[in-house]
Amino acid sequence: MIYYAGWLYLVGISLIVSILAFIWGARTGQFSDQDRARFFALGPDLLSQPVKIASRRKQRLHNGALLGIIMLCLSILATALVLGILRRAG
Amino acid sequence: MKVEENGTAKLFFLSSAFWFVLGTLEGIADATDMVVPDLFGGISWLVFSRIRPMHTTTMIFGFVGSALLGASIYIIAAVLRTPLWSERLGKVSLWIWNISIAVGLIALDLGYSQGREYAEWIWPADIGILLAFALIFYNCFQTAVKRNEKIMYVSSWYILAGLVFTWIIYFFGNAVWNPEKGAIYGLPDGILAWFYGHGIVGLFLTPLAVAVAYYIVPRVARSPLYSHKLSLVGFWSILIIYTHIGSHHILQTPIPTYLKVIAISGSIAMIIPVMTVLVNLWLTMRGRLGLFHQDIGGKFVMAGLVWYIITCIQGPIQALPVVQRMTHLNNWVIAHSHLGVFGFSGTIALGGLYYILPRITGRPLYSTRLADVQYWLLLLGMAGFFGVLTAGGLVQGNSWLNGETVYRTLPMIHVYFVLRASIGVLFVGAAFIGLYNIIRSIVGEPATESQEFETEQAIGLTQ
Amino acid sequence: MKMTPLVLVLGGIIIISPVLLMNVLRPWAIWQTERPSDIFRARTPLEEKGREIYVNNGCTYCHTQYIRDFDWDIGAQRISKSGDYIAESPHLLGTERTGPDLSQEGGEHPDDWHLAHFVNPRFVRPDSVMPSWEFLGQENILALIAYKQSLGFKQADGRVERQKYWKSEAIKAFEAGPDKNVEWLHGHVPEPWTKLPNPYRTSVPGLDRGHRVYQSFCIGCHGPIGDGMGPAQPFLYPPPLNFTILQNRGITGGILYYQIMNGITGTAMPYFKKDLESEKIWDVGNYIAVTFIGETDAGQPTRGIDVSYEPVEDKK
Repeated sequence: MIYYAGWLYLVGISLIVSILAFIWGARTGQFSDQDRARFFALGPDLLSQPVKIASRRKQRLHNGALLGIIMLCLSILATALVLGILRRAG
Repeated sequence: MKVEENGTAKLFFLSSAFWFVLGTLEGIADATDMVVPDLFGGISWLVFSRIRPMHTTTMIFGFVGSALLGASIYIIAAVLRTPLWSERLGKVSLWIWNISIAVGLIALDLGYSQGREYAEWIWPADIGILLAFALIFYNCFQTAVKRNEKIMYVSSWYILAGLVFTWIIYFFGNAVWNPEKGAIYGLPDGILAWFYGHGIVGLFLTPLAVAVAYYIVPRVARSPLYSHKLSLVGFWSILIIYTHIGSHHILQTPIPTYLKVIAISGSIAMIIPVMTVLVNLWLTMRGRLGLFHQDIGGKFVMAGLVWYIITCIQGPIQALPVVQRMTHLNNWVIAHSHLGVFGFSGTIALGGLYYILPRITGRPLYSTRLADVQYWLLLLGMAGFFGVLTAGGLVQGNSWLNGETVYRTLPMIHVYFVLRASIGVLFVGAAFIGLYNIIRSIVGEPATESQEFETEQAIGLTQ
Repeated sequence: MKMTPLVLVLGGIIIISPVLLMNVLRPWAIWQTERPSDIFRARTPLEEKGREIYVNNGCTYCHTQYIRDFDWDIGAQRISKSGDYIAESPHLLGTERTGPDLSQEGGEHPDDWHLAHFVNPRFVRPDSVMPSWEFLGQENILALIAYKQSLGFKQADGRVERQKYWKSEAIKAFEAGPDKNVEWLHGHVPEPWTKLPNPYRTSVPGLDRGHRVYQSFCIGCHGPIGDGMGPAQPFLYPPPLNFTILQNRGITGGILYYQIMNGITGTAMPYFKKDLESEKIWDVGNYIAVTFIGETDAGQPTRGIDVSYEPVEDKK
């Protein structure tokens, strides 16, 4: 028994907690009125803060950097995936 | 004891900045060890393999964990429109948290380890961490009970679930009922340890980082969340999927095949919760990127989300057995772990820190420019790390598949080790800049124009 | 569809039941039947102590302990089975192979090689990036060595026995003086090899390549001038061979090749057939022959078909 008990209890307890939380959520109406919930991160304090927008140049630089990183990393991943499949017999 | 509003969150941020410096120093010590193994020859507390777990746990719990906990404590109070239930309890949990981390780290350095990745800390430290998690959860839970807003915003779901599940997985993953070893027996111990190791990323760092992103993105965009319903779908699906895919770390060991099937299919299914988060946040911020580039916190969070995309495309791909033949056990995986822990969670944690800290202290950051410098150092460093470690990993993996011995591949990856150590310098610099900036933001007045200029001169940005 | 409580409960059950089945019932059924594998044995107290040191010092971050079906390195003769692990606590499967896998490490090397290696890994493996463990102290290092020699369980025990037997033979031969020692060493090389000359001609590029191989693999024991006085020498008995004593004692390229390829079990001389391909072994053998022994049979007219890359004008 004790041989596998550790992770058996882990899975069991996690499940029970999730189910209880879900039932609670459903019963207290947590899944209703979702359109109002969209606004919760915003607060009245934001009204007093000025809106600052980055200059075009800054925007281009930042977007370019992030996009470049995404493309670079994705191409590395694609290469690895292709190599992995090709090398199956290796 | 003086009770100050949001004092707990502020101190968590300060702790995070301190652990970040320590963590990067440990990282660079280890990177140097791989390049010049005899440099620290004979100094027991600087030996590679003792520093290695210190580096990972300092970063996960100390740096990223503290910042995310600080941000979470602030956010849960903010979105529930209720002050934190007890700042005093918060401070107590903060000190238990920090002392436990310190105890765990010192023990590791003296050669007391439980040997399982991210669960190395000795039993007393484990108990302290569990206690801290429990107290923080209780505090947040009481705040939720006393909430003035009936419906819980998605961030609070993530925070509460993150704390509960981290507690459970930490308790079982560290096998705290077995104080001496902190482990069970045989292959089930490997499986348990990786349920835990993966859970620390998936049920501690991810939910809290996503909670921070769900709070900061709409605020910086000054626009409501695109869909709250979609965000809850993401929340429940991450709970269903993430909990049991940890065995993809040990796919190549003789664990039962059905577990491998669960792990692989679950890893691919992770695309669902990840995409709900990313699509939701993207549709919230679309057309408003100019606001993000101008706000230092928003900028960090946006970069963190970019790393999240990459991590979560990489994750499912590398869970495939055909890919693992080439990527497993080498630096490819190290690239992925830096991407997940630092790139995604760490960058978002810093975003939360820089966004929230001025709102706690009530005055602007000491220097937004310094934070900006830190941002670019970390962005470049992370991209460099990913490239170098992935390339090194592919060299190792392909060599092994072609029949080279591990010893023969060492000279091949030496150059990548050198590059890794050099890029590490960027991280160390960024961590020190962050610590300085955060201390000055908390204790002092914001910098004047001329002071900013002087600092830039001092770190060599302007002549 | 409306989210009525009934829908929620039914949906929940549908999702949860496969998870319960797969993660709870299935493992219960599997681990009930788990038995030790054919090679398993319990560890001795000294080996357990060594394992503790291994755990506490984080050796597992660079050394895995499982062999996959597509591995080539040390231990690849036996793919790991789940029954090998029943006594592991904590597990030491590992996640990175900066160093070789250790699940079948026991008996690969004799104890004195390990001692030199723990004091400073570069004494015996010059390209290694492993830290020096001298600070652990003699007693702890000996426990670690005992643990390493137990890795692979019964298979390791067999290899350790073999190391011990051949060590006693090698010591006897060494103590009988250079003549007898060389005779003993050459006497164990099978007949066709002892007569085989090095098939490649001596050339500057070839010697350079041999030199490079020598620096990555041999220099730690045999020393920069081939006198067997490398940094590992004080730890090893019988000591590393001084190549000059091979002069005028009937050395051939074939003998050198055979000894480098297969090693000399019992002594600290490991086999290099996993690390080095054929030409590298011929090159380093010829480097030793030319530079340290002072006599080489390389480039004697080969019988049969010429090697295609040899320059035509060089052929005598």
